[in-house]
Amino acid sequence: MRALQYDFAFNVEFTFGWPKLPQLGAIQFALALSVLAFQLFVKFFIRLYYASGANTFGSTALYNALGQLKKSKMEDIVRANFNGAIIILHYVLTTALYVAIKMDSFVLKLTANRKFNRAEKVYINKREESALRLIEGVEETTLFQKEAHEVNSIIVRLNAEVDGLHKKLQRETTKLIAIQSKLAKAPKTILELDRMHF
Amino acid sequence: MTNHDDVNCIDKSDLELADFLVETLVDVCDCVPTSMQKVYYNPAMLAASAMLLPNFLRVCLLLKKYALHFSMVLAKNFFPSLAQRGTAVIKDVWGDISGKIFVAVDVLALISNVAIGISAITDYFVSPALAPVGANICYSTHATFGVMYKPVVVSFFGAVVSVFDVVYWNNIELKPLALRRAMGHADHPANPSVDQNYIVSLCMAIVAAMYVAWASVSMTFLPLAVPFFVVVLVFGGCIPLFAIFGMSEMLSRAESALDKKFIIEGAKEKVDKSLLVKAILVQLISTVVLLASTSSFY
Repeated sequence: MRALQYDFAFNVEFTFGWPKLPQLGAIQFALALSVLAFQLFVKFFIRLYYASGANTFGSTALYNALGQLKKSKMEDIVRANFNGAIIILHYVLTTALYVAIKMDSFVLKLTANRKFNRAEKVYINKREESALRLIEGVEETTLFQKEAHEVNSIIVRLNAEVDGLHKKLQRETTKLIAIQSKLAKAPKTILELDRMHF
Repeated sequence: MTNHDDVNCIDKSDLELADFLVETLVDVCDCVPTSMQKVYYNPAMLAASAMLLPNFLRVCLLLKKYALHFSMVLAKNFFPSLAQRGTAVIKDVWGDISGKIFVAVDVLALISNVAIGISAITDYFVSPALAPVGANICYSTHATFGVMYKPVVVSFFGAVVSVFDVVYWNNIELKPLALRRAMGHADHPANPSVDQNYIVSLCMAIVAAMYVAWASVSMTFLPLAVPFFVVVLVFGGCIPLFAIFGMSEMLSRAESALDKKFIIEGAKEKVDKSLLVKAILVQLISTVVLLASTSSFY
């Protein structure tokens, strides 16, 4: 059985090589392969094109622009082309901008991180230095005393102001009480006023 | 190489192992023109490709499923807006592109394939460069091997596949919905793969007529199924059963296990049932051609 023998001897050249066909047969074979290739190309190209989302980067706009091209007026054609081109340009620029912003923010983050780390180190160093100074107890104590003196004087001034305000409040309160007592004695209703005058 | 009425005939010693169909012709005919060397595809190779294709597609679908799943998991963690956009695009792909483009391409391909196929078959029988000289058994063998003639394989197999799709769709469409569900055809598409108009119907009629004519000629070799019963059983039964359904079952189990491991929810990947039936059809045709290749037994 030659057939079964062949099954175990796969001949790549025989299977995929160009066959030695008569001239017409070769043309038919080429045509048949072209049809098959066209069919597969259109189907797979469109599927891959849409599945990859490539249509969202300007092709939809181009399609709309081409749809408008069907109108007979020259102005419309020009406008459609112009709009399409503008939209495509917009997409391209937006994408470029997006990429640029992403890159920029990334670089910014890196720089900020580096600066923060450096600042943290400087801060820690300063804290260490000030701690040393406190142990020595020279400049910090005097500074603290000065600051405490200033704060005390501010408190005294504020207390005096508060006392003044308190006395003012008392005076106003006595005035208010006098006005209230006068109001109590005054006629309460319009009827009483009528009786008093008429 | 011998000479027969001014035609150079093939000598058996000139043939390669891969040319076993031509070798059969040399055995049963008086003279086979030298231009017939390497004009046939190997039916076994064709059958093996058809058998492995559904499961190969299934493997591709599985790879896509897991690749998509993992890319979505990564995208959700690092680029949430991109992930949303990605799923939206993928959902819209099949909805947005109406099948009209594909249908138009299929119809165009069907018409072209039928035209090329008719031309190639006519050339196959008429051209002196492809016509062996001999008795009736020689012509029957020559006609049966016609489906493996390289231009015919590429063109007419494409047409047979399109026609088969429509016939299969009609067959399922005519069944009641409950029966369709019970048979696992609930996802039957709403429209056939090609438009049903006069031109397409004519093409389908031509393809069907050609197929019937080929089947009636190849009936000559049906009695050979008795002495070569084991070959038919293994090549036409056991190997396809394992390659199509056995491998499919193995892939289903592997998918279940992987889904459990990676906690993926959703429908399981399936290949179109018509693809499996088409693989069986190609297998059947190839088995008949293989059977015809033993015609020297007569």
